[in-house]
Amino acid sequence: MNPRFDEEIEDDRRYERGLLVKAGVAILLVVVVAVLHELSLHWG
Amino acid sequence: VIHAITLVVDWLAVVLVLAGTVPIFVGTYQILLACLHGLRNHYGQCAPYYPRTAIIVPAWNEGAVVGGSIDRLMRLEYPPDALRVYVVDDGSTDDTAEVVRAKERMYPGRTIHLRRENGGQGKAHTLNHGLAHVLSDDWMQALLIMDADVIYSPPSLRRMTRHLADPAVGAVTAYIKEGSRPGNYLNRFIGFEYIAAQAAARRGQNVLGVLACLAGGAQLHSRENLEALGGRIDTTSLAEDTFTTFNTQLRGRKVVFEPHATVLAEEPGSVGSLWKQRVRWARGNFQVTRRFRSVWFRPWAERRLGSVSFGLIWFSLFLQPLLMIGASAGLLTLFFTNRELASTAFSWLWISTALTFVFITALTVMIDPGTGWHCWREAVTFPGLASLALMLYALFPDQVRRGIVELADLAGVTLTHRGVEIATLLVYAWPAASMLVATLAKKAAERARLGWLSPVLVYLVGYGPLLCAMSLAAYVKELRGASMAWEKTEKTGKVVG
Repeated sequence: MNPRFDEEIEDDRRYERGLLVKAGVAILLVVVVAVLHELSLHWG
Repeated sequence: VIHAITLVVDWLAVVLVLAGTVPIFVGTYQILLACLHGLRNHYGQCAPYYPRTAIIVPAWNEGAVVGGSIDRLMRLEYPPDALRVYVVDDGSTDDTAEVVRAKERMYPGRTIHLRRENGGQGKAHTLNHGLAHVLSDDWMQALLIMDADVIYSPPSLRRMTRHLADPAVGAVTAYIKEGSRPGNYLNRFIGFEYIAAQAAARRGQNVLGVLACLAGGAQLHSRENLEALGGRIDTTSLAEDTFTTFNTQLRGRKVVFEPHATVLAEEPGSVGSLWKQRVRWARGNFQVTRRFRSVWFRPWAERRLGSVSFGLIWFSLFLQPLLMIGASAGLLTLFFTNRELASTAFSWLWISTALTFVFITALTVMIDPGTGWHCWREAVTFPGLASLALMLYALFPDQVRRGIVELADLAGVTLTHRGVEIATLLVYAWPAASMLVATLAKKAAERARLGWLSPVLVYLVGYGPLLCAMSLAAYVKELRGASMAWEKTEKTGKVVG
């Protein structure tokens, strides 16, 4: 029925592992906002 | 003595404000867990597996959508002789019966029309009628429960059944996506909500090894699981999906979320319709919380459902409306007892809200980029424009203050001390007041002349506080013992697959 079973599972696993990279990008954004907040306190 | 009392009151108020941040930190924890799904998932136990699957479609006046749904089910990438569709017609008064009978002739032996003459008792009763039928012989090895309007992507069913190759798994659910096209602002809010509440949260729950709820429109059960549940769905609550999910796990079977099996669903397009649906869901959750009271925070008795992590996830959402009221009460108390501490607590509350909002929103959009970009405006305005302004103020207080003074100068308005105090009180009251304003969005939607105001208010207060207002309304209804009449969400066939 699905000769690509192993390939498909591997694709899904790869997508899931990619979430760690996406989390890294989101954390970077938070760091940028936190740094801007700190800087604004000194510039204020 | 007075000093000691003031100190106690101050710190109690601070605790209330800090408690208001619990849901956002728990939400962040859950989404962080979702990111670990690549390392901890069920794919290692999957295998090509195509059990004989009965699909039960409960239908009450679904003539507009059920025919298309059957056609699409027949095109699923699944062995045709291992698939049967049972439409349980719950005493429909429209053309549902004619539509389904026409499909019976088109797909002989693969589409079956079951009529329930005394219908209208709710979805669980309808499902039980179908369940009794499919369990009466031994053809069915797995059962898929779906809604009449949802659209399964062609590979979705086989992506779900591959998990049932592991006999420890009792049930599998899919990723329900809002599918109304073009859809309105509310559909886009729901679209974003579903990435966060399903694609992200349920991945996190997979990592914990415990699932809060099988989606009502996409739950696949093994026959063994259904038989262990007594062959019936709970009919005593408004949350039969969650009852089934809990009971499956309490009997020692795993429940798995499969994010790559996608299902499109039509969700409410008006605040009134959304209100009815979510009040029903929240009342159901209230009933679940009460019924399973012996499970919560007892990891020694129930390793997964009783875990502290799962309890925190469940109760932070369940209590969110009360925590928001508590945060406002704390800030308002501090305003009168200790202004400096009030200002500090305000900053803690809104800076932590802002940082977690950036993290959760960015990650949620990236988890399902297609839907995320479609709903990006609603993703950004999810907490509401007013709360976004408060986040900006907490993050950049001097700059925002200067901007307000300059704007007031431009407008020729003098900022008095009394005016600033009143504004501060309003700002402190906002977490609670936002729910009150959200109820006005519902009232406006009910009046033809004020209909335009409803979306304006939703964008202003935010979709999140709107959901909290609905939960609060549900809890009040539940405590007053209101009737549990099933109010079906109206479907119009707007979903485009």
